[in-house]
Amino acid sequence: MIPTEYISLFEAYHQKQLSGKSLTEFEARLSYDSEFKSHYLEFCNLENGIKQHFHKESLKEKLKAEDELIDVRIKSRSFNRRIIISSIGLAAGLALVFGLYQNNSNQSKTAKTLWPYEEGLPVQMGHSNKYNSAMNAFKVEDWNKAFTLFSDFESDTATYFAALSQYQLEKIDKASKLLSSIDETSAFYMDAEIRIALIRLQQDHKDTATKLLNKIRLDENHKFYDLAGRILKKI
Amino acid sequence: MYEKDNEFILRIRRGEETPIVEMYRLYRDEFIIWSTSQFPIQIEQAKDTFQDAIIDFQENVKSGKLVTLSSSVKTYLFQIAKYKIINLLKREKRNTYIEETELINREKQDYMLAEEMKYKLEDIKQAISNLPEDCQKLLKLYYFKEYDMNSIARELNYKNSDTAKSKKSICMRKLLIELNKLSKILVL
Repeated sequence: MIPTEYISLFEAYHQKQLSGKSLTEFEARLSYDSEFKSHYLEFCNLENGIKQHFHKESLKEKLKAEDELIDVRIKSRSFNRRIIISSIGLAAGLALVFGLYQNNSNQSKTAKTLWPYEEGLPVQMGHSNKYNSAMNAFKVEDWNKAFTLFSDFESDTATYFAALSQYQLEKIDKASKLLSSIDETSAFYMDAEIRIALIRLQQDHKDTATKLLNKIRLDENHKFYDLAGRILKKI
Repeated sequence: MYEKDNEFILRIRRGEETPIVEMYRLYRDEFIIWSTSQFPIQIEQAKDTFQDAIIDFQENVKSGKLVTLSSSVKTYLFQIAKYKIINLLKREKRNTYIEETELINREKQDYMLAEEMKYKLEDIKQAISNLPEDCQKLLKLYYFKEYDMNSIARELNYKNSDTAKSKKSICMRKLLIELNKLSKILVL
């Protein structure tokens, strides 16, 4: 251990502040006093150690700065990877949503396309009575008038055509309600059944629609047996 | 054979510091993967050790201890770092490292020499870190930035160069006291 009282002396020597007699004495002591010389060498080594320490510290700071850059790059790469994965996920999600939308949209389109054409019942031309007027309005696709006029009648026929008018006016809920009110004994029951099934498809109630269509498929004599089969295949 | 490696050595010898950063960038991740699989150390310890190994490599080149390599720079660096880890684990009294010390003949001397030196520098590092902040600044300005006493006085707002000089002596005394506290014989 270097005696602390030597510190200032060694420093003065290193800083070339010793001169004349004090310098001569110092250098002479180094040559004859081995203990003094040993402390001096120890001091020199300590100074070298301090220099090395600060040099290493400086280099280490540079490498640590580089470390941060590398880590940021890695994080950025992993962030980009996450973005790509997220994008793929998002795209898949969108595709799924779009697919579902497309599926629903397709169902709706199928239902509309397969909606059986109804030409209406034969009537006398002219407007001699309200029923004729309603049916004629239906035939010329004046749906509002047809619905209004049919609404004044209480018959399964009027209900059926009123429902179809509502359907054409895109009031499918009302149309469905009217069709559902048609009794099993009605001549329009089978028509109502298939149309309710198609409306359910449009309403995205695939399960209900499927049940109704399967029910139709149980009866080979059903007016819409084949159509029900086609719809089931499509959905 | 090791054209790029020898180029690193030449550039370091010329006093360039960029090869150090380039080498670190090149081998850091590989070393982290290797060392953390071989020794019970954390990633941060691996980084720290590899930084020290690179600095030692630079010192060995600059001092002329290392002139030519009998292996690649990467192997040399990994070897230095490996012994640093072993010493680190010894210091931490964790002797559970997977690989036993397998010193490679000729290069053994270099690695161990570097390690011995480092062990003492560790004391200096510790002692300096225990000094008051103004002493740390002063010593850094004097020994690393090589400021004269007038510049130090200006930089640290001392009255004059004499104040800086006496402050430096005080700091050196404090450093010796700290080293003494560490109970190590200082033979550098």
